[in-house]
This record gives sequence, C-alpha cells and structure tokens, in this order.
Amino acid sequence: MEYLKKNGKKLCFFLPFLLLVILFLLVPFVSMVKQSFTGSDGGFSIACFQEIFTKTVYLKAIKNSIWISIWATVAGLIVDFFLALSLTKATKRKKNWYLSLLNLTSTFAGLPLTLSFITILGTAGVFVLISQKIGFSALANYNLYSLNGMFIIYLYFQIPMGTLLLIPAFEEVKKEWREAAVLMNCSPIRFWCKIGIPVMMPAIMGTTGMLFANALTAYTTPYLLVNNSIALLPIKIADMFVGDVRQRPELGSALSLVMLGIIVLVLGITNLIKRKFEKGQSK
Amino acid sequence: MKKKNLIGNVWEFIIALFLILPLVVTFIYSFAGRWISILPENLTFDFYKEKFSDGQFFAGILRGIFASAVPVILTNVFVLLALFAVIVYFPKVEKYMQLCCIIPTTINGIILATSILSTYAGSNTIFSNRIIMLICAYCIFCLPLTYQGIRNSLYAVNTKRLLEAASILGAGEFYGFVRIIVPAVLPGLVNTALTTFAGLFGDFAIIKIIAASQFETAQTYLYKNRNTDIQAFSAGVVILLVLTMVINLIVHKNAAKDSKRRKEENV
Repeated sequence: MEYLKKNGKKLCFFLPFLLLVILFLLVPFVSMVKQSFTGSDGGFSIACFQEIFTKTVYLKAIKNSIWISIWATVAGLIVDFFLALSLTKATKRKKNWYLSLLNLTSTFAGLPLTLSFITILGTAGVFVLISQKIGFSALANYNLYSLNGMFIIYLYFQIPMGTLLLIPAFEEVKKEWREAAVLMNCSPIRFWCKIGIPVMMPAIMGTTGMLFANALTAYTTPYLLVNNSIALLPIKIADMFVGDVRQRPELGSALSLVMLGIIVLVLGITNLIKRKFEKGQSK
Repeated sequence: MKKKNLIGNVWEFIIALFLILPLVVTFIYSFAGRWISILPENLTFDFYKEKFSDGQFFAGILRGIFASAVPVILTNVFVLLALFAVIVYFPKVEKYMQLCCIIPTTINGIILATSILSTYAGSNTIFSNRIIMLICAYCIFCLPLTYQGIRNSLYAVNTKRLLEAASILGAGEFYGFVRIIVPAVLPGLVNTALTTFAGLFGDFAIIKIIAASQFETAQTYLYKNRNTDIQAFSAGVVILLVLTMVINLIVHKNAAKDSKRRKEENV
C-alpha cells in the first residue's frame, strides 16, 4: 500500500497502455479460450474440439490451410533466399532501387492485390484472354479460384516480406570469410552449406516462422477468391462469427485456438532450431 | 564469378517482373476503354473522372484515413507514456511490456478481430460501438511495430542521460521528456507511424469482420462494388495504391535523411 501511495502518480503513466492491453488483448483472449471450452448447456466441455477433429469439413480446412502455408513458406523462402543473395552482390544503386520496389510491394496486399490478380488471371483476366487468343494453353485455362491457382498470390505477398527480412542476415556473412574460403579452395556451394547458411540459420528460421504465420492467417485473398468452395481455417473462423448461415462463436473460438496452436507450434520449432544454431555460434 | 552474376541478374529480373506486372496491368486497365485482345482498344480518363466525382468513394477514403490515423496516434501516445515510465522509474517492467507488445504478432488479424467482436458485440457497453471496437483493435494491431520503433528511438538518444541532465538544470522529468526527448525522437516516430498507418489503411480483414456494414471505408467500398465495371474498379485500386505509394515515398525519404543525419552526427 505504502508503495502504491509513493509511486501512484508514476504508475499513472502506464494506465492508458495497460487499459488498452487488458481490455482489447487479454480479456478477449481469455473469453475466447473460455468460450471454446463451453458446451451447449453452458458448462465446461470439449465438444467443440471433438467436433473439429472428427468432422471432415474442419479437418479438411486444417489440412488445406497447413498445406498451402507450408508450400507458400518453402517456395517463398527459396525465392527470397536467392533474391537476397544476388542483391547483396548488386551495385548500390540497383540495390536501393530494388529495396524501394520491395517496400512498395510489401504494402500492396490484401484487397487491391487480390483484385489486380483477378484482373490479370481471373476468368476474364487480361492474360487469360490474351492466351486464349494466341492459343497458349498453359495460361488460357488458368483457374485462379482454386487452391493451386491462389498459390501465386500467396507467393506474391511472401516475396517482399521474406526478402526484406533476409537481406540484413546476408550482411552478417562477412566478405572476408568468403575470400578466406576461396583461398582454401572451397567451392561456393560448399561455403554456403558449411558456413553461410549455418551462420544465417537464426535469421532464416525467424523468417520461416513469420512467413508461415503470414500465409496461415491470410484472410482477404481466400475470402475474395474461393470463399466457401474450398475449406480454409481463416474463412471458417470468420464465418462462425459473422457468417450468413448459422453463427457459432464457440466453435469459432475453438477453431481460432487450433490455428493459434499451429502457429505456436511452428514458431516453437523454428525457435528451437534457432537456439541450436545460436549456441553453435557462441562456442 | 561473372557467370554467377548473370544467373543472379536473371533471377532479379524475373522476380521484379513478377512483382511489377500486377501493378502495371492494373494501371493500364484503369485507363483502358475495352481490353479483350492483346492490346487495349482505346485509352480513356472516364473511370478516373467517375471515381473523382463519386462522393461515396471519397467519403470512404476519408473514413479510412480517420480509422487508421486515430489508432496510430493513440498507440504512439500510450506507448510513449508507458515507455517514459519504464525508462525513468521502473526499468524492470520493460520485459513485461515487451511481452505484451509482441503477443499481437502471433494473435494477429482474424483471431484478434473475432475475439474482440465476440467479447464486446452484445455487451451494451461503450465498446459495443463498432467504430470504437475497430479503433481499439487497430491499436492492438499496430502495437508491435510502434513499440519497436519508439523503443529504438528512445534508446538511440539516450533518454535517461538527457533527462538526468535536464533535471540538474531544474526541469521536471516529465517536462523534460515532453520538451526535449519527444521532439528529438519525433522524426523517427513519424516514420514508424506512417508505416503502421499505411498498413492499417490497406487492411480489409479486420474491418470486414468488425465493422463491414456500419463503417464503409475505401476498401469496403471497393469490395462492395467489385462486380461492377472492372475498369472503374481498377481506377479505384490505382487511386488507393497511389496514396499508399506517396506515404511509402515519404517514409523512404525521411529514413534516408535520418540515417544521413545520424552518420553526420557520429562523424
């Protein structure tokens, strides 16, 4: 009490921040957890989770979401890695230009991005129409409104984000090391496998986690393109709260927790790998 | 070595093309009268005229600016106050504050929106107002980036030292903070603020879930009219894009100026 009296005025500085965090982060989170364990009679129950893990719709949604997120992460990581690698060798002017492009496209997301892809590759998209005219069959029948077709947009928003995260990591790999390795007759591939990538591993793992979470929680793109024709977690969750059919907040909360669980699991794994490599560095 | 650079250049070129193509096509499309062949048949400004005379679209943009600016300002003020107290009075609290600010990176987007919605939607409190709900959700959404930005700036100018110096000269700690520290870190803050603003302005997921029917921003306006003319629609997309591009450009310029100034100071 004494302490409070003495420091009361100083603690007031925390008040707005604390109120915000408690009211709009803590309370909603706790109520979400509580709701997901509420049965139809209002008591404690795990019925929602049972439903999620037995019904095909939800299992399919989980599977689809994980599937597209893994692919988007892996493909994004490969593209970003080589892009960042070649950018570290580029001239300063080109690098600056490219960085501006990445910064610009990193804000080009969500609704405008999806809509421009519809203009290009949708059913009446420009490229699709052109390909039909000139008989280029690979694009003429492009189906943007499917899991595979949508993948290109996922890849698009992974590129700026991942590359911007990876470029600083490449700067950690010192030029002198490469020169030393070359002097000792080490091939570039061997250098990257044995020295470069292990040094960069913490950053790569951090990027992996971010890319995965980014792809898993993407809502706008699948909402505009496939909505309910393909089961995906974010869409199912939102439907449970604001859908046109039957709203079931309890089930939605449980699905949110499942999604959160997946994110935490992936972040946990990447963090574990990160730790391992960080340990190796300090030795 | 030369051969390798060639592969790198080709790769850079392909990715740049992939990144630019949607932007360029949308841009051309918004000027195209009719485009069903390899080249558009004619070019026209009609769709821009239409958009610029459309009051609803403008109102949407203004609402979008309002809904993105208010949370950014609020979050900045809240975090500044809290970090001031952390640095000056309670250094041990920093860990917990950092934790609070990092959590929203995991509980992001739809989980945040749906949990806030289901907690306060029928609660009959002031928070059941969708606009207040949206603004507060946005505040949480921009917490991680804002915290990071403010923290870095405050440590970069060595707040504690400066405040000690100020108090020796007779200025109160809070007075010194407002008059000395805040002006010193302001350029950095403006940059993070603009970045978060651009992020919020481009958001569709959260607003769709929390306030789609009550509060029409430019994004929701476009969504509602997505089945009308594709060209008119591209014009809308381009206008929004140009807006974010301008913000981006300012941030970029500012950041460059800032780092140049820092370098000069260090020299």
